[in-house]
Amino acid sequence: MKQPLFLASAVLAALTLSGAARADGGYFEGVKGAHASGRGGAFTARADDVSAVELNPAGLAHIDTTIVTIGNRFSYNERTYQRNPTLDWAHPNSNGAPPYVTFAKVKNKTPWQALDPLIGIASNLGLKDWGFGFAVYSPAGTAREVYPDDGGQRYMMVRRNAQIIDYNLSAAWKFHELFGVGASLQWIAVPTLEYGLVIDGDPFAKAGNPVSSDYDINARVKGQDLFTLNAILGAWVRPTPNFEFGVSGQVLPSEIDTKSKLSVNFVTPKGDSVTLVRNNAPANDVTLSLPLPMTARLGARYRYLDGDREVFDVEVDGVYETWSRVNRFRLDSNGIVAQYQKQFVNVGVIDIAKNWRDTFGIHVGGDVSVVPKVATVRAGVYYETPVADPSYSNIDFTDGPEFGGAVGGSVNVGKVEISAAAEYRAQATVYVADSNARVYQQVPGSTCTAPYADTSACNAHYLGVPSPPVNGGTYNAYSVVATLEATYRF
Amino acid sequence: MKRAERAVALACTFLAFGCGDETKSFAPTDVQAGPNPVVATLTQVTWTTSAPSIGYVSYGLTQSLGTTTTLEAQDATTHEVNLYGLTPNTQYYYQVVTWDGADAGESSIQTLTTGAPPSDLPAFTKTGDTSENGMDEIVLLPVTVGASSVIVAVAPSGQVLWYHVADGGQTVTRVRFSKDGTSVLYGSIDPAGQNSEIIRVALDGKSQVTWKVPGLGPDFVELSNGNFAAIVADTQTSNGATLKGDKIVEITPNDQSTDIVSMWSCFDPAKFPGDGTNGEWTGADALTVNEGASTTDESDDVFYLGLRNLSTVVEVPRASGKCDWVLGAAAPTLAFDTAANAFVHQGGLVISGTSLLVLDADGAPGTSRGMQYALDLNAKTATETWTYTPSPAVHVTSLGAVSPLTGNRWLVNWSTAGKLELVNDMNQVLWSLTGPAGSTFGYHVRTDSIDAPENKP
Repeated sequence: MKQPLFLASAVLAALTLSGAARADGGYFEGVKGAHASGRGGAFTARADDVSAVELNPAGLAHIDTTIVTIGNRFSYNERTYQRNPTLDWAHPNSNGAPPYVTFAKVKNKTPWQALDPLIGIASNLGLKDWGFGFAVYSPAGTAREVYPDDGGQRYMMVRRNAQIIDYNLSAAWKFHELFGVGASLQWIAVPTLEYGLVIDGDPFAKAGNPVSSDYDINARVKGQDLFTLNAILGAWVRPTPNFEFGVSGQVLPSEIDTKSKLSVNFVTPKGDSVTLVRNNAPANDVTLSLPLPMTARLGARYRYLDGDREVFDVEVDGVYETWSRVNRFRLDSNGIVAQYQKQFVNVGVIDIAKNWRDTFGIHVGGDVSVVPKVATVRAGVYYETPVADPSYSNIDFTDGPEFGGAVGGSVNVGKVEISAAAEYRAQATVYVADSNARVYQQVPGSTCTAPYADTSACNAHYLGVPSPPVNGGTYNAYSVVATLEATYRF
Repeated sequence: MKRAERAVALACTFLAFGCGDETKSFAPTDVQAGPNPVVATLTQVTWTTSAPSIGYVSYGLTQSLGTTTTLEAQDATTHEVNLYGLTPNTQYYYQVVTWDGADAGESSIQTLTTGAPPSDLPAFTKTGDTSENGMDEIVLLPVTVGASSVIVAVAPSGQVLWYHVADGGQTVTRVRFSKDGTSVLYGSIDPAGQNSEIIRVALDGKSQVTWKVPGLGPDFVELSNGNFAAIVADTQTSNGATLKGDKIVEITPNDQSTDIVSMWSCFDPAKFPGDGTNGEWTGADALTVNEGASTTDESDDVFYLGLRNLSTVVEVPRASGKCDWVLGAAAPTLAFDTAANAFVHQGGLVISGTSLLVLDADGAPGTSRGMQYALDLNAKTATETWTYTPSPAVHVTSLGAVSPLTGNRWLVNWSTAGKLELVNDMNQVLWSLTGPAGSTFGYHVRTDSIDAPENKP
């Protein structure tokens, strides 16, 4: 294949994938790229392939030729949740005692994620101390999760589909082999962000329906935000041939603000449907905001050299992410009123409490050149602190502490390098007692307001909280990830 | 993958990072149950919780359970709940459920086996509808078969939920639930008169208290101040004859007795001798009270007393201590609308507002009947508003009562016939309960739940 044709094909493929809007990344789990993934994410200091546009753009200056990479990340993402048993105060039995209700364990019904691409090109464009890169990819993560409409999780979430595509344009410069700097300009496109949950539309005072409500409503928000700007800065320094340090950071406090449409339907169909109006006119436009974290990566690696040839390396990375920017997922209806028969409920602002906190991850990994210039193997492990206090655990993202390990390898056949990585990532089991749960059922029509002590408006069994807590339970999650990647060098 | 998950969980525990609260301290512990040594249809389930909580017990003949007790009313850390209505000599499954204000806890499903019933526990035959359109309440009544008296709480299905065997040789004519809902009160009448008692027996079978009431009559009530008002014999001499009249007395928990009113002050046996025999004059057999708005101040109590031998009902305000209005054959101040509607030898009384319900033993030829009257104290009349005459006829020779249920239903207690009937305003029998052959029933009360019983007339 002629080189220009290959390039054209790669770019076309990237555009096609970005438009396919299927199974792209979500809020992030791991890293993209077979090399980085196979090292358990310990790649900030090394960063010598197209994934450098994300992990450390300064590393592009290591690439002294032109490479085109196309790869895909396949994953199986098991997510389970079992809600705690509770007492159904709303449906007492004949002698007034509230039934003890248990909930079946629910699983993500869409665990397989087959399309999760990385397409990129990096080149020095003939300039000795420079490197340039362009890459299109979906950030590593689980794009789509679907749970039963009648499952125990439904007041937290029934579906999420977050298709995020990052377009990165990067440049790097180095001073000999001593140090280098680089920057990426990142355009984040969200062609689809869909989020659905069940809300209790009970319009009456003292509503308290922890298990089910006659007014359960499937509320779904679907929208897009095609342009969010971000930037990544990076640098590396190699004070001696055997030691190299890298640092990078995603530095802009960005936020995805989708213009979305809200749809609502009774879980149990009724004679009349719910209509949405604003100022007496039909309306369903809402905004959904998801803040993005800023990220700092710091890596140190040891290179064992045989002459100029790197025999093996070991890298340790620390990654700090400012997830504390995510206090809530906020759905602002901008004054929409839900109307059912003669009842009116102000949809208002639906806040899904997150209270996330900054996370720190430590990644250790390295490469071993088993057959010089032909075959390399790599491996890595990592641990990441939980993004959420257990009280705010939610089924929508894996927010507990995560562990993982990966292995991988590369084989060079002529100008083509074929790389593969296999990764196992798991969240430690998270159990949340209802007394500690802080994610509450959404009851837009409730007149129970802070401090939630007014017995004329608040349910007697839930005084002190806005409504029944709905995230108590046991969370388990793991992913099995395989990354396959081809790189053409010329 | 499960092995890997376990490894991760173990690592999480080891590293002590925020993997959540793994302890379920709200769950019930020390859950125990065993056969009640006194009541074979009853078992106590006990448990403890580390923090104050409320709870209930689910139980049944299979692990599906199916029946629950009522929810405990008060937070506590030690708990005891009674399971009533169990079948003797039977294995049950049960599970404790708790609520500490936020977390619902459960025990494992455990088993218990009930004890053996007494040989003289009566069995009942039920007919009819046990839905809310039929009989949907529990009846507490004394049943006498031969010399044995047993107090039973009977479900609409005819199942005995609870029982208490009275001392042999005593007659039990009245039972009530105590106002605190923990016990059953009954009058144990000594045929000789002097050893009669009011007895309080705990529903859980654990305690029994007696009050000596010499001359105790067939009926008594518990007052809100903790005392009892009871019919007691008041024997005096009139024109050289010794006659046994009746009085209402108030009895304190330490057996002190105070007269409220004597029928000797209301009627003159010379003018109204009645039709009693063997010196029995007034034959008071029914007592009820309206305690007014206050539940602590008894001064506004109004008593209603049925005088069987005089075929008369009287109202006696405590404040005056005198008979107020009188309906019946002796010195009436109220008149029946027609002579045919006059009761004769009436049994138990139920007065609600201006409505009076009686079991009329002999007012109709050849049969007893249930009667409801509307009292008009201004017009001084008693107008019949409902009557039920059974077919075939039933003749009650003592006691007997009629209770009003919601939805135009009445429960008729054919005492000496050993039968209860629930009838509607079309006089259709919706439900019936028949005791063993030869059994007689004393005065009953009704309740929706035996877990937290209340006295319905």
